[in-house]
Amino acid sequence: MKRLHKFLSVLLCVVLILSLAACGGDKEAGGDQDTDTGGDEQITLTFSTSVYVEEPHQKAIDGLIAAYNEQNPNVKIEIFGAGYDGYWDNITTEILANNESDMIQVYPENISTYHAIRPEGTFIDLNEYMDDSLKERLVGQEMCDVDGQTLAISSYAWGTTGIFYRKSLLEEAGIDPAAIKTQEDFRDASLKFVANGIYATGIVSGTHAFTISEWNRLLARPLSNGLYFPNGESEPYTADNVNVSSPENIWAAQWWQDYILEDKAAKLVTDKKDTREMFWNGDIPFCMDGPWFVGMTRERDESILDDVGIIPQFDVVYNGENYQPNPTNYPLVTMISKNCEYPQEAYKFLEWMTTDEAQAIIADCGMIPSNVDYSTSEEYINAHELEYAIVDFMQNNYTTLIADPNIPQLGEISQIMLDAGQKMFSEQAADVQTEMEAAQTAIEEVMSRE
Amino acid sequence: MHKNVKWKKKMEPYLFLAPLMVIIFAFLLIPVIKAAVMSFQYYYIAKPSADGNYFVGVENYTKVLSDEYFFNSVKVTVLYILVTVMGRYLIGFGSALLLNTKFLGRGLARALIIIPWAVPEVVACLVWILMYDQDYGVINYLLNNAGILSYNIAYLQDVSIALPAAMVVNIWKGFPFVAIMLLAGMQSVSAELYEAADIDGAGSWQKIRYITIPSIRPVSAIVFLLLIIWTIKDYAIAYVLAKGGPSRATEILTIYVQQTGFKYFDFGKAAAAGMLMLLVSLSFTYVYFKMLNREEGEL
Repeated sequence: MKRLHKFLSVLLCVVLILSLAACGGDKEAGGDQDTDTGGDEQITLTFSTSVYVEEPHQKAIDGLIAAYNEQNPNVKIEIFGAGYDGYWDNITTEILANNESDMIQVYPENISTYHAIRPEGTFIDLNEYMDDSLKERLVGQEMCDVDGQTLAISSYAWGTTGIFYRKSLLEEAGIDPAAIKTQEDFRDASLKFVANGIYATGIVSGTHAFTISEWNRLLARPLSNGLYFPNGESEPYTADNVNVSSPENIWAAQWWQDYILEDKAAKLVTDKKDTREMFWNGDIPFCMDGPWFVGMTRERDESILDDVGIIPQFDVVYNGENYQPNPTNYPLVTMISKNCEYPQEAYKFLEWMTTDEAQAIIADCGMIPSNVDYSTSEEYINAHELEYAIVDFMQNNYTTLIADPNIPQLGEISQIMLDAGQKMFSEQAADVQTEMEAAQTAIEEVMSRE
Repeated sequence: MHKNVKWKKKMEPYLFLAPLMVIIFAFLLIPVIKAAVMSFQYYYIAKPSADGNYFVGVENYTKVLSDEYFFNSVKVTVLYILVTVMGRYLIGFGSALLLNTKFLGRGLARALIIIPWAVPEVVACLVWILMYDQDYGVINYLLNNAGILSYNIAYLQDVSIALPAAMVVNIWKGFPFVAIMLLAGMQSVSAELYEAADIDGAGSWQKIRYITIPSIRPVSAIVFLLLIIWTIKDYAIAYVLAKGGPSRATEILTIYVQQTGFKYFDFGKAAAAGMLMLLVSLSFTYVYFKMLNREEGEL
């Protein structure tokens, strides 16, 4: 009996030590491989995305995987997705722990941040896989280049924003949506609802990134041509080039604060989904959103779509001059990890996503697919009127699109702006000039850090 | 031969301890040592250096100690600890007193009181988020209907209310532990002491003041220390409820460290802040063990 105890103790130790060793070694084994299965070998690819928790995206991604599996039964694709808030921490942890997914979906401005986590770079250069003609057909593909490397492929969907409205509510209030051309037109229309005891829209205020990004898209960036850095958030990314407290950005912040607190035109919410709910319930007439909102609405209740129209974001008039909107065209792009055991297979799947067959699946779930050939085709335009309106806005109403700067410090500087936004765009009603200047100083400190 | 058996006998306890030692070494010591080393290295991933993660002396500590957000977190953490530890203790003490009296359904009450403690933190927080909701939350509904409020409060969005709101959740979640611990302490107090007090004509308050409180002092001290140590490393409640916001109003030290590392990618600075936290935590742990040893010595 004693011997048995001893034997079991030793066995337990050995099992524990072996299991710990196995934890550390697995990924590195596949690190430098560039294996193509080429045949019937069963392989598993992992795919991380922040949007899988949202209904239309889940439907689209499931549809894509099912269709791809039909043609490639030997390839199994596993999805890993957390909500937007937790997603970024997850992928940081996974990359640091060397166990990230084979494919990771992000927005272009996040590429540098996650690529820089490993000194040798986290993701593979897709230049060896992609030809130029494909690159030219994909929306936002040019934003995936970092230091001469193409680190991601824009093979899914994109969307910039417009302002959705409830036709019946505007009609009741005697508002012609086509007449809303500038920020003051929008304010006037909003005030008509306020006079009737109805909020015009919902504005996210809190710890969500939308606290800043909605204001930035609607007002700050069109006017200042760059919240963080001037000239379209372009280089040099240095302390002396920070643009946060420019007169234009301060004016834009003041306008937004007045709209929220003085006009009381917007209900402050903690999450975009609250605004969407209010819009679907007919409690507010306006909701700034992207094309995915069409898919969400369809999932929620298709009949609501009969009462939904869309107008482009308004122009901003400042000191007598007109500034056209330049909202980001958020493409979701995908990177392939250098740890991926089957990079060719991973790329094959991502490239397949740009085909008409795959793009149709994406479009049917309410997104604007990334392949321009498809999204400007007659087939697409006829079947997706509301979504195509946004493509049309891009061509006729919006000027050059601008994304957040693609720099590793983005997480920290956006948190600084978020802190300022929480103070300015909430009941705290902090002084705009003071907060913007404080944010400028803090961001200068980050950018000057060695 | 005899020597060999003796040696084997001597080694046997170590063999039994080995699995635990392996786990502690792999999952506790290595990360702590790694973090300690990182706290003296350049580990700013947003700006990787060609020299790698070179040693920078105490620079990370200097950066932490000159960061206003760190001191904001220290302030928030100290306040959070003071209020929640006191809150949990007082409510737990009151509950233990009640549960120590005889009444119908006492067994059921003792079982039910443990529920908040047993509910996972994230689940509890999600329920509280719903209850705190400005428009649809039951708290605003009840307070408005009772005439206490005339408007709806945004508990987790208001910078002056978010921290107290998080404290309430922490207190609600943690007081059952105190109640159960103190109840155990109260049950060990000799009934003869209360009988003697009754004969001397002592009232309820006097019995609590002169018998119960002194008798459970050792348990109370340990409970206090445990609560302080646990609250220093608390993360989930403040993070799930408000993510450290609004405007860093609920950014306790653990959130500061997490944000500095995983959002701002300054792992050197985050490790330095973590080490400072560890020192504070260890000092309370040292006192805790000292007290435990004293208790055992008295037994």
